[in-house]
Amino acid sequence: MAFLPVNHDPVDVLVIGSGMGGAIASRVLAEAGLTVVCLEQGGWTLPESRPHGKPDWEWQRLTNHNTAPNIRARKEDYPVDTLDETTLMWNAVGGSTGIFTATFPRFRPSDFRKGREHGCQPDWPFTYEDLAPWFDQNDFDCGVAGVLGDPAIPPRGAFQVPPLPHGGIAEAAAQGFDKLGWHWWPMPCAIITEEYNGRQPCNFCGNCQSGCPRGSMADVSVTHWPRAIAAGATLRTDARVARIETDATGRATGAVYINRMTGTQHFQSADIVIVAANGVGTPRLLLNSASSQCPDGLANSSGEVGRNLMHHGLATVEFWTDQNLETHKGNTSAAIISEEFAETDPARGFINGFTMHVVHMNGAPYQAHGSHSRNVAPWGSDHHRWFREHFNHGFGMLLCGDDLPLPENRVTLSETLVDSDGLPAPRIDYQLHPNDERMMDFAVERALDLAIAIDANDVKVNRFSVPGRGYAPPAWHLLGTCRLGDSPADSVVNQWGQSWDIPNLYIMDGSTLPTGGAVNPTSTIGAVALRAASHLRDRFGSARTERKTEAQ
Amino acid sequence: MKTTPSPIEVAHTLTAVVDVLIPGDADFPPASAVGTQGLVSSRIREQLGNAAFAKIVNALNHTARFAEAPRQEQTAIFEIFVQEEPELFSFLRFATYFSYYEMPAVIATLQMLGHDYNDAPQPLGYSLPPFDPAIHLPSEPRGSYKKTDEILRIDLASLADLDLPVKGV
Repeated sequence: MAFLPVNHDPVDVLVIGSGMGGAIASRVLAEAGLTVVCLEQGGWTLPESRPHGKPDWEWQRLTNHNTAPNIRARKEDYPVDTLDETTLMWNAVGGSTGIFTATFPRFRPSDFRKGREHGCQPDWPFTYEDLAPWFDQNDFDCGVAGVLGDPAIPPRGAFQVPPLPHGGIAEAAAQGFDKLGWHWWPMPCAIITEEYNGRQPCNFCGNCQSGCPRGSMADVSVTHWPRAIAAGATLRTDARVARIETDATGRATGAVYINRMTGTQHFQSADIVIVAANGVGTPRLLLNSASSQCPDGLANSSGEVGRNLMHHGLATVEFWTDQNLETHKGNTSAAIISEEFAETDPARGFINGFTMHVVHMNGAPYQAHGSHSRNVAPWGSDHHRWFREHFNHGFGMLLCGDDLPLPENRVTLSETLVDSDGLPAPRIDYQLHPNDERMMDFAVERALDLAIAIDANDVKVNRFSVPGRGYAPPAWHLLGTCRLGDSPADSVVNQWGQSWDIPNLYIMDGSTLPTGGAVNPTSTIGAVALRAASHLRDRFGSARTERKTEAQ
Repeated sequence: MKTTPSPIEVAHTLTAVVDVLIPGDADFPPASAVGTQGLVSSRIREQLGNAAFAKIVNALNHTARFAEAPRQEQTAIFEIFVQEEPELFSFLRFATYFSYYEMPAVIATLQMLGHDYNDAPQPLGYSLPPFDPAIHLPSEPRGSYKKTDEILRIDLASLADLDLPVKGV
């Protein structure tokens, strides 16, 4: 006997996903007095459930607390069908901000004008200057540490707290950058260095990759959700959305979801539906919502849903020196950044650019096991000599390149894998364009220049190449798969995240970014979502009944 | 001949394995002396399942009883194991390194050697000297960016070999 879904009272806004975009949308719209329900397939990540206080913290970080759902394989996760990458995300309240490194640089003006610059990526429908105030507001909401005055980016609004301590690794790298005459600057990080909005400051424990049990990092379950809930938003955890429903007129009516604790099916009706399930989860949901009206998936008349996946071209180079740099201390990611090569210069042999991030190496187990570059200590009689010379004597450089959005790099539905509720898993196909391969070749060569400049005694390069397959990177940055644009012909949503096909369906996450820049995207994802959510709030009366999506 | 090894043989084999991987020296204790093999055993069960124990023991007992061989012979046997069972070797090395370096006696050794290193990141965290703009900013700031109105079409003629997906202005 089939059970009918439990029908919940209609609300003004249904938000699917509670990460950066979903948290912002829920807070902005709830604070405007609208009734908001957010569905999150995971639960709350309690501070004591994180591994930071346990001696096996590094083992947990690579196993049951891994950033890859395919490795930790929790019930709230869904498998990702791919051999092209290791897809990373966190499925819980706060989404992937619950376990990211809070590296918070901004995209640069040229990232919004790649169509004009070379035509291999689209222009955004708005400029950096249009987004600048939303960057500032989002920083204020999150709490960002940094220093003004960086000549490699436009003047910007104030940081909320003083910059993070540099530590030995930044000092060593900065000397090398100075010798080479390259740009460097302290990396903006959404990690607070003094009390901010009742949150306690970072104590530099060095395990940001497992999130932050102190709440010092801008995990939106800490920064945004308390405010959204105080404003009246309802957050339903363990609620996995199966599909978005539409009516005969083509408008979204709400979503069917499964309570993962009870297995019961529910239907939540809403006037406006906002999807914020990240650059993999959002296209997966739209494709899983195909119907006789939309056989190729919801909001997909352009055929662009799932396409143009971007992750950034990535490589890691690690250096070891004669100094004890105490690389296990401090925020894990990005003590300093160099944007020396961030702009396009065709004389280098490729378009677009990359940034260089000076990063830590975690604890003793991880360092012995090769850290980010897989420079593994030898086993046997030479083990301890190697360890003495390498432990805490090194630092890493993450090379982050702007990858081209290619239609064949895409999220589709797996024909073989399903999640724990039987819903088709996403399949991912992803390869670097030759332009991006050449860019990463150049980037690695520049990193090796730094090795010489700092007189490194050991260097290891990790191009994330898998034998027999080639490039298969860790994929944190899930971008571009439902991109915003000026035209329904080649984009999924307009500049406000509103679906061209379904005027009461919005997308507010990394999937809408038409280009990926050359830096960590969360700051930009937040600014774009905040701009879109605020615009929706300001015109909610008309948006509620709108029959057509306009470009402006 | 493949057999089901006894629990005692599994224990002795894993004890020998961790010491072949991390033998100890004047400062660092051998891996088995701090109990690494116990954690490794749990982690084999957790990640690979109980069937892996027999597979490891049988692979190492290929030519002689690994656990009873002298260290030099164990090392030679293990070098063959590395070649013939690369996935099992990778896992054993991973589990052994991570288990060893979380052991209290090993962390105490790191501290004895002068490292300011805690049992776990929290609750203590670490102290770091605060950011000092006098020394933590470039003395001669460098860098630039293109302003929105400065972004012009670039000439891609020199990049023709890349087959770039140009879609127009």
